[in-house]
Amino acid sequence: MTCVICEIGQGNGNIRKIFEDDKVMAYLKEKPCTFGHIILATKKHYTILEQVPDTEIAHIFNIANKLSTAAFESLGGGGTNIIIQNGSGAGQMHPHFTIEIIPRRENDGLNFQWQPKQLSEEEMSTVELTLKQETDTIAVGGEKKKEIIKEDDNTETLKEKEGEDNYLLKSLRRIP
Amino acid sequence: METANLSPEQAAMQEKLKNMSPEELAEFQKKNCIFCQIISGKVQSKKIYEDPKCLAVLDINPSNPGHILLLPKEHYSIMPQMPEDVIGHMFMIAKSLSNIMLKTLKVTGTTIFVANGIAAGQKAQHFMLHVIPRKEGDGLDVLNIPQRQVNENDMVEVHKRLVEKINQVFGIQQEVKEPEEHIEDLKEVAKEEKSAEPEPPKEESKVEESQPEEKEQPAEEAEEDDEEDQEEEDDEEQEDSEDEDEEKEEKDPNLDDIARLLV
Repeated sequence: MTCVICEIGQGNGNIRKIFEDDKVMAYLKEKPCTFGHIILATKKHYTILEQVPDTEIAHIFNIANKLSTAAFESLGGGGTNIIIQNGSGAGQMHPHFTIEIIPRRENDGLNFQWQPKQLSEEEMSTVELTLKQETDTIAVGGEKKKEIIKEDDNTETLKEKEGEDNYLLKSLRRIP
Repeated sequence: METANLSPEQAAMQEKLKNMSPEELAEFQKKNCIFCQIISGKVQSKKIYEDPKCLAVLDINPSNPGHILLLPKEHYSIMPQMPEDVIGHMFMIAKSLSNIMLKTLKVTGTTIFVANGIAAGQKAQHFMLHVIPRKEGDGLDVLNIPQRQVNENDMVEVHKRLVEKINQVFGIQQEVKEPEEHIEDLKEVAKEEKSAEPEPPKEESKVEESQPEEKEQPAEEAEEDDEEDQEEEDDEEQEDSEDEDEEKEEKDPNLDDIARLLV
C-alpha cells in the first residue's frame, strides 16, 4: 500500500491517535494549524467524498460533530472549523478522503475568510440553472428521492398531486 | 461556546432570550434570522435544491461562481445543537451537490466548509454548510490550511486533554485498560446486566471519574433543543446523579453497546 493514511489505519506510522472505531480513525495532525487540529479519516480507502458510500456518511459526520464538540470543550476555544478539501483543485494533499477539524480562538492568526467575487446577474443565473437542472435529475432518479418521499408529510405529497392535476387539466384544456 | 465572544449588547439580548419559553425563543429566532426568512420565502433567493429538511441556495457573496449555502430548515445556531439525523442528511446532500459541481461546473475540486462560532468566522446565527466549487488558481488560497511547527510538550498536553474529553463524549472509559483481571470482572458484570438489574457501582473512584461523561450523554439526546434547555438539563442531571451511577455501570463495560447507540 502506498497511501500514507491507509498505512496509519493499519497501525503503521507514528501518530497521536485520539479516536477509533470500525469505520473511522482520528488523530492529531503532526503540523497543526492550531492546537488540537484533528484529522478524521475513513479506514477504508476513498479518494474523495463522492466515493464514500451514503451509508457511511451519516456515521462519519456525526463522529466529526462529536470530535468538534470535544475539541472546543476541552481546549477552551471559541469555535471550530470543519473543512473538507475535496479534490486537487481544493488543495487536497493526500489521495485519501479526510475531514479536518480545527479548534479556533479569537486572534489565533487563522483566517479562512474569502473575498466575495463580483458576479453579474447573468453569471449568477447561468450557474443557478446549471446546478438546478442537475439537482432535479438526481432527485427524480436517484436513491435520495425515495428517502425524501418517505420523509414527506402527507400535506406535501397532497400539494404535489394538486399541482399535477392542475397541470393535467391545463394540458387537457389545450388539446381542443 | 459563542457566549464568550458576545458584545454587551448581545449579552443583554442573551439575557432576554434566557427568560423566554422554548416556543417563544424559536419564534423570536425565526423572526430575526435572515436565513429563516429565506427558507420561509419571505426573502428571495436562488434556490438550488430543497427537501423537507434542508434548502440549498446560491451565496449572494460567492467565493467562486456556484458557491452554495446548505441550510437546515429548522433554526440551529451551531452544529452541536443539530440532531444526528439532520447532520447525516445534510452531509449526504452536500455530497450530492459536490458531485454535481464536479460534473457540471468544470471544476477540479470542492471545499466543504463549516464555521461553528464567531471565532471560527461564523457570521450568521443560522448553521450552514458552504459547498464551494474549486479549481487551481481560483484565488482562494485563503481556504488552504496552514501548517505550523509546534512544541512537542504542547502536543502531548493537547493530546491528553482531547482524549480525555473525547472518551467522555463517546462514553469510553479509558481507566479500564490497566489491570487485566479488572477487565474480566467488568465483562462478567456486563453479561450479568444483560439479564438482570444493574449492580451498584463497585468502586467509588471509578464513579467519580465517569461522572462528567454522563453529563455528555443526555446532552447528545438534547441536541435538538436550545442551549437553554441543555442548561436546564445539566441542572437536573446534578440532582439525579445518584440514579445515574447505576446507569453507568450498565453502559460502561460494554463498548459495543455504546458504539451501536452512536450509529
